[in-house]
Amino acid sequence: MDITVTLAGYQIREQLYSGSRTLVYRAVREADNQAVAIKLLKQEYPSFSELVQFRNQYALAKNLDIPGIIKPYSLEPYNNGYALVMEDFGGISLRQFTKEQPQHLDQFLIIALQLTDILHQLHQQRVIHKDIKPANILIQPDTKLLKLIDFSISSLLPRETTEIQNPNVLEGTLAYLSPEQTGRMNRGIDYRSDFYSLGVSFFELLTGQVPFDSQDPMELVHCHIAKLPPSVCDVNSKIPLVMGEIIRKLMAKNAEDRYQSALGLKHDLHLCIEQLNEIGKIEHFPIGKRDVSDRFVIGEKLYGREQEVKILLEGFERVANGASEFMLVAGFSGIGKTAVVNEVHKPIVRQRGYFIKGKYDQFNRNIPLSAFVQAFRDLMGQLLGESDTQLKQWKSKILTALGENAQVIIDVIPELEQIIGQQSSGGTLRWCFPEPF
Amino acid sequence: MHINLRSIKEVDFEFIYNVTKAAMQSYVELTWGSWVAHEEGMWNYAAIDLSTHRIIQFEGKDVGCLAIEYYPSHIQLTKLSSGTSKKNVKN
Repeated sequence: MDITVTLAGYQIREQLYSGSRTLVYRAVREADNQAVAIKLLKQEYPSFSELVQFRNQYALAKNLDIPGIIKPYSLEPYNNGYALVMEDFGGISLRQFTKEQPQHLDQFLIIALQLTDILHQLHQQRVIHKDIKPANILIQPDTKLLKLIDFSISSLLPRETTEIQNPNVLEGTLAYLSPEQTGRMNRGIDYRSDFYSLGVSFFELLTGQVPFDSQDPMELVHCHIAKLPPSVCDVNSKIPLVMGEIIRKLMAKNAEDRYQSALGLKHDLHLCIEQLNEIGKIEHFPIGKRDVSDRFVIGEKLYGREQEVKILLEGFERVANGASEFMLVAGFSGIGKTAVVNEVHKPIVRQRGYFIKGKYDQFNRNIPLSAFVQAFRDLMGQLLGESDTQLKQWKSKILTALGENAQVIIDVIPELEQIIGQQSSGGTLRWCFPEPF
Repeated sequence: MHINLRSIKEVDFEFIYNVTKAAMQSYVELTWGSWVAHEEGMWNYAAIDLSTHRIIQFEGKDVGCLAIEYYPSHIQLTKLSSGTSKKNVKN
């Protein structure tokens, strides 16, 4: 597609990138002949969330004084979207540079050390990038200088939580997503999520493939939260054992088992480079010896609830085999009911189930069935993210089960109408939900 | 019910603008404050690609516009606008 792009004050020279959502051009700023890169949203009418992400990446990156990131110069209106004008240092994406081929160990270490250093500086500024991957890392092919790009979903919050969403609409890139970013780990997202994605990127740089590869988004989510990644040494036997251990540590499922600081990782990479330079190979050494966290992080591991979690998981196994059960978890506010219930995420993903929850609390006492309504509205949101084929199956199942009560349920759960369409009025709402629910 | 796609010519540009306006005006007004007709028209015309855009016909009548781009890795639906009533689509 050849559309002439014009932006007042800039001479567009060439297209650097054309993705499904964005376009990047190389240009010259007429006022001072400065070489710039201009990123545009591809859609004629970008969605509101795309516009917000564009603003976020500009607002966040312009306040960072880090040489390892691409500096944004300005954010300019462009048609019904924005044009992000950034520095152009002649880089290409690491993905383009490596052409998805395994990198030699010495070249990999040069890249890995720089990346770790950039991440250290970013984390020092309390920024979580949240989308580390080779496509978001630029490299200058001659100097091998690296710079990080795309802060669209980056965060300044020390900790974030992700709601359970259909994997098709999760923020970030599924192949590189940390377990907690899937929203199914019962853990918040913090700076250590970047270490997981960095581990996946290292794996790809060394082997030419990502550790988990699947066309099924839910399968990928399951891999991230439950499956052990293959060892890089098994994929490529020339890679030293210790390198495999470093990547395994970066990709630990629980953030507390990963590196706790980029400096700890940097130290281990330095040892690798030293050994490679001095003796031509990398001998095994204990990793993480200089890995000390520079911040106070309260662990999110659940303690003292093993029995309750076991009861829930056993219940889920029975239900997954066809039984129907109803479980109530009661307790004072703040005692940790939600944390216990959320522990069933992993087996649910394994069984391709849906997790929904509703909560009765003291502020919603006047709303009948509020917890059920909340839970089923959530379910409708998840179903709407499914493929057309699955939606059709759900539509048929729901209509069969609801019969003439369909419109009554739509009145309570409006999202249902988007799945089964408007129904004729009839029936009355009883104080129980029909079969499919 | 007969739905058909036909290729476009330059005489269709005004129709495409009108269906786009019918579909997007309220979103643009909510997001940017107003729909500036001459700007929107200019941008809309510039974005029309004869090779990707198709007119959607329903029972032989033009009712909407579709644009599809083909890539080695995927097919992308870049535009799908339809006029919901004669009131919205002037041609």
